[in-house]
Amino acid sequence: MLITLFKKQVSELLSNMLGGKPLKEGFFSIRMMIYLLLGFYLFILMFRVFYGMAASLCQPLVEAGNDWMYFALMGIMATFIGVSGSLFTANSTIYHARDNEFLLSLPIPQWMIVFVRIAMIYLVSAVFEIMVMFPALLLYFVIGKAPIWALAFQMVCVLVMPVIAVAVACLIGWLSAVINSKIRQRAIFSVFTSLAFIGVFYYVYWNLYSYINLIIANADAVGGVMRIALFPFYQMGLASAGSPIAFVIFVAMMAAIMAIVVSLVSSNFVELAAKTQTVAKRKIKTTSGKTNSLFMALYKKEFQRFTSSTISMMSCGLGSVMMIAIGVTCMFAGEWIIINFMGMSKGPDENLPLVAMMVVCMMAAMNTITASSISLEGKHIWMLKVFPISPWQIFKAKIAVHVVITGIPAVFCTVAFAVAGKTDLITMLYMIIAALIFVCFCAIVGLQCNLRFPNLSWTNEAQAVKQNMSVIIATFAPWGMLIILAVVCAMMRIMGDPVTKCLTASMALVMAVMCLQINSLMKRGAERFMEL
Amino acid sequence: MLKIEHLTKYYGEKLAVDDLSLHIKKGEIFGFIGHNGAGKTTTIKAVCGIHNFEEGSIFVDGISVKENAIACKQKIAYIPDNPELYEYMTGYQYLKFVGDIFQVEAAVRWPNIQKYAELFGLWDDLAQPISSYSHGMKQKLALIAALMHEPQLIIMDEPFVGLDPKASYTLKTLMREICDEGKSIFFSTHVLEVAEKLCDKVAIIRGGKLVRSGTMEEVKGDASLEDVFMELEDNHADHAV
Repeated sequence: MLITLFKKQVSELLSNMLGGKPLKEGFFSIRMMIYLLLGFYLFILMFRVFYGMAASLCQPLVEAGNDWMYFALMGIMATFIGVSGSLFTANSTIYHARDNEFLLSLPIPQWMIVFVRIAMIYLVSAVFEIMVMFPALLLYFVIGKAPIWALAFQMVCVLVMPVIAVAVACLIGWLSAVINSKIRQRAIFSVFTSLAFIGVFYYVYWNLYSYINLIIANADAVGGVMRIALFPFYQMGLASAGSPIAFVIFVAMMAAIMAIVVSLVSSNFVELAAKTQTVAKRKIKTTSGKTNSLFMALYKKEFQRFTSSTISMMSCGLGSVMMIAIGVTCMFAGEWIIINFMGMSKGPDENLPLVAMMVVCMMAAMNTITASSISLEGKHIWMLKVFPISPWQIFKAKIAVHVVITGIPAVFCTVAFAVAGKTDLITMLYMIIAALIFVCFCAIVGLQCNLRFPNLSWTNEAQAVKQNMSVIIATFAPWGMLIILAVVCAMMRIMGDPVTKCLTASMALVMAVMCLQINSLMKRGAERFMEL
Repeated sequence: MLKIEHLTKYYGEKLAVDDLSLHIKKGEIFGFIGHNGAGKTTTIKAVCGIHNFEEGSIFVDGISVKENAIACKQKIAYIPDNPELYEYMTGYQYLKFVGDIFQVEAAVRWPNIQKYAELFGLWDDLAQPISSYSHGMKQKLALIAALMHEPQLIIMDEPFVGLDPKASYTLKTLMREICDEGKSIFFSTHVLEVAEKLCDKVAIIRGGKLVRSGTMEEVKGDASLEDVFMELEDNHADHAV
């Protein structure tokens, strides 16, 4: 029965990835090729970052005989990344899957349903953690002193370690479910938790190398604290360095944690998964409210859809959060941001408007609101088809929500950069317009991707919002445009053109592409929408 | 009010509706009957503009669905068999949204919401999120949203599924009143007794093909609608053998 449930869950995941095609056919499809390419790109990206971290830790710790500490520290980082990868999906995967009621009606033990759901969270965490640990193990293989058979311990440890990330993600998911079932504004707790996590994540990331230096300088003291406060990671470190006893302890601990998580989540799974939200009964006071224009009605509906879902807000609006956070930081520590975040090590120079625009555009490209907006219609899509409105009117509302949610933080962040870099007012205006045009471009790319790769039959929102081809392409495609813009601007600067001219050329290029996109959306996009 | 001429619809290579023609006049309640998978919902969805169709034409009040879908949709209200509504809205917000989409004037919109919400006993629940509604409540909300903009043609797919006996009775009475005002109703059902009592005309579809159509008397004669339906099913089974 457990295997059947696993098969169902995995086939659901593959079906989402392959757009409903059978595995044999879908495996050799263009879609699969794109996945592999993007996966490879992400792997290289992560490898670069974490190889750098591992390289700064490995040599000094191994030379000091603190091999275990190297593995433990990399393990902590991997767990952190693993949690960040699964945090937003735990709640929706476990408690809000659409087939929960169906599965509960079947003669399946509850713990099995929970176990399979948790296994999917484990898979996501494990992928992230492997990307962190692979460079770490590779480097240790070259530099380290542990016996060769310790490699087997290391690999097993990497495979069982995601259990810690699963436990953290499930705990937060469970807390969200409990609190959400009691309050009307369901998204508040989840949003605050997620924002706090993102804040900590980026704070640690930007200060990573100063922490590493601090750890290396005080290795003995830090090691002493870790032995007690981070006992599982201490055991994992010892096991990876070749201790069979520590290996047994660590694996047993992970098995125990998994068993505890499954039994805790199972204990009130029915209560939370099948619960209808209990809110205080309110009566309607009047029916003489204002009426809205067609556009406003669709816009408000899209906006309400976005704000009603934590996973949408946190996954599709991450760029806005970053732009606000960076903008605020820039107001107080402008120079630090210019040097560390924008990579201008010598401080602001005349290229700052171009670099600032690129940085803002990169963060704006992280927002994938339109890229999941068609999929999120799900089974409701019949309404939009039945209403007396054209697909273009629907598209406009979806694009507008993306532009407002991304555009306002983009303008704020651009202004903060411009002020920190003491840019003149005219150039600042150029920067703002360029950023806004790019935001519109991203919105349209996202919508086109989602029309091409929609997923209307999702069983939990995470599948529509994160595990979707359109979202992945919409995240990376604008980066392609940014590379082209960077090359164009760099060449123009070499030829001695002023920054404002580079910005104008960038705007013209993006606008030209956008005109083609809009034309395609109005014709082929509209047809495609009606075929869904 | 609704003219379907030689409608043909394929799903891939499978023929779902085969050369179907129907004519529904103003003031008529038209029942659409058939076994599961006969092509009822496909026909209904083609009329509503949800599905494209390969051959034939559909006219709503003289306007072609293919050529001017939006003008047709303005005159139609569609109620599906399983109303999946926006669960993140309250009932009131949903009605307001539909009112805005159809650009229903405030002077028409609010009295209609109040009238139909009280009629279906949903008034006290309109401020609640749709996610807390039962299937029947969602069905009632979809009915109120459909009636609010005073459509000329109401298309319903299994409208009585999920409704409690009182709401079911209210809907039947309302259907007759609406048609007496000169509007038309086209609905599919499996409840033959309801169709027999309620419909002015009826059509029976089998395997995508229209097998019988006309006034209730023309279709059933002295027998019951159930007898006629079963007889047609048996004939088909005999031919198949």
